Amino acid sequence: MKAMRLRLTVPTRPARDAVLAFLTGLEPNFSGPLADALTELRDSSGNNVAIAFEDGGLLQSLDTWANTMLPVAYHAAGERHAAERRARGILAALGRRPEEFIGRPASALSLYERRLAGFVRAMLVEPGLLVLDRLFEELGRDERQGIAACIELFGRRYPLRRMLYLGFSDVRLPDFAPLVPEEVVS
Amino acid sequence: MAAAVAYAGVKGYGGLLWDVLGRLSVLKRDPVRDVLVRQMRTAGMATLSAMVVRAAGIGTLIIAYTTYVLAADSAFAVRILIWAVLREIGPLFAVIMLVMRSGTAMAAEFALMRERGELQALRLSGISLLDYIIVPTIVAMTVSNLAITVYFQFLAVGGGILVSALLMEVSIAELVEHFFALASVWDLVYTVIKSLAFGLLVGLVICIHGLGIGGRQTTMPEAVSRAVMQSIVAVLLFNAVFAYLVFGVLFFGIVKAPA
Repeated sequence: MKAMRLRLTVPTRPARDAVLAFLTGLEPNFSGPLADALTELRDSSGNNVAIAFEDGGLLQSLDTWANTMLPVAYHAAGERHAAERRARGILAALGRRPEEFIGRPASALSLYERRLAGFVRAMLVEPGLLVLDRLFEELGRDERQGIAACIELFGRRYPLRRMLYLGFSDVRLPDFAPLVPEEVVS
Repeated sequence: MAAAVAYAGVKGYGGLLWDVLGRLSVLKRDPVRDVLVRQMRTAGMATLSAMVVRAAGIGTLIIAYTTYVLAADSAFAVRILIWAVLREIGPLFAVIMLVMRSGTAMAAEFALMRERGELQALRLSGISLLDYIIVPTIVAMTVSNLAITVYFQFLAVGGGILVSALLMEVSIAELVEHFFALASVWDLVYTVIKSLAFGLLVGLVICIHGLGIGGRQTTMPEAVSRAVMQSIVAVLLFNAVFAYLVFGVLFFGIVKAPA
């Protein structure tokens, strides 16, 4: 399993939750046919896994910028200013401005904007494995291109780090190799 | 069975309190400190702003009742003010205001965060709920309740003294003199311990029910209702036990400690 971009179709939400909990270490054990592949994936990331959530995973009590900075500010105290510079750089590379996030409540964002903020947030922690949680689903064409640009940016900046696309339906992602043979999952 | 449930409940609260005490150092982290400040603002400011008229009114009522119904002199009226406001009504009234004004809001917010999946997103992002939500909330409730209690007592005693001066034709200076002669440091220590413990208890109950800790996965209205009811029960129980330990009486003197 050498591919840097992988995909996995999960049949149900509980299955998705179980995969995410295992990859992030919340659940130490995983049973079933995916166990070996997921264990190898998690271990090869150095247990440094970040998730770009389907809804951004943002807190409504914080503005979007504070949400974006939250994990890095929480885990790496003292690196807040450096992280803010990195966030500005990532947004600039995506053709966005930080002002679109600063002071803006998370509840005021569209689904695409929430996913974008969640992606930037996940990227800021420089994960060994970035999980893309249904990021293409329920979006229009232009918005999907925006997400594709995010994925390309991560791939360019961290060419040796892996991405795993999780989806309920089998989205066409030619650049993403299946994590395990499809018949195993079904 | 009921005893087993009660024991499990107390054990759950005790365990959570132990965890919180062991993680107080996380308050140094910027995002956690931000939550602490926000919760103190929610708990403190919302309650304080609602308290001025009520606190002054209660002090006034106590003095008016003592003066007219009990036909008390000024020293006795001030003594009643100290017993009632400083020791008992002050801390109790303050914590009930805290529960009603801020506790409900916090329990509702936590339950909504749970229903929206925000708590799970935090956990999956490697952010501990204990560190990021529970520790700052409990510290905020504890400290805020002390501030609210002191504020309430100041207003109630001040209001009471002011009204007594008008009703009894004694000078404010005389009443203040009575107050400082009768009030002791012990009254202050007693009220500080009580208000800190009340705030701590309310914080624990709200976190447990709002966040659904220990498998208590309830809907938002249910979480709020349980948080409020159990907060008040916990506070009243603690008040009774503390009074028994300090004064040797329970249930208004019906039960007395052995001599």
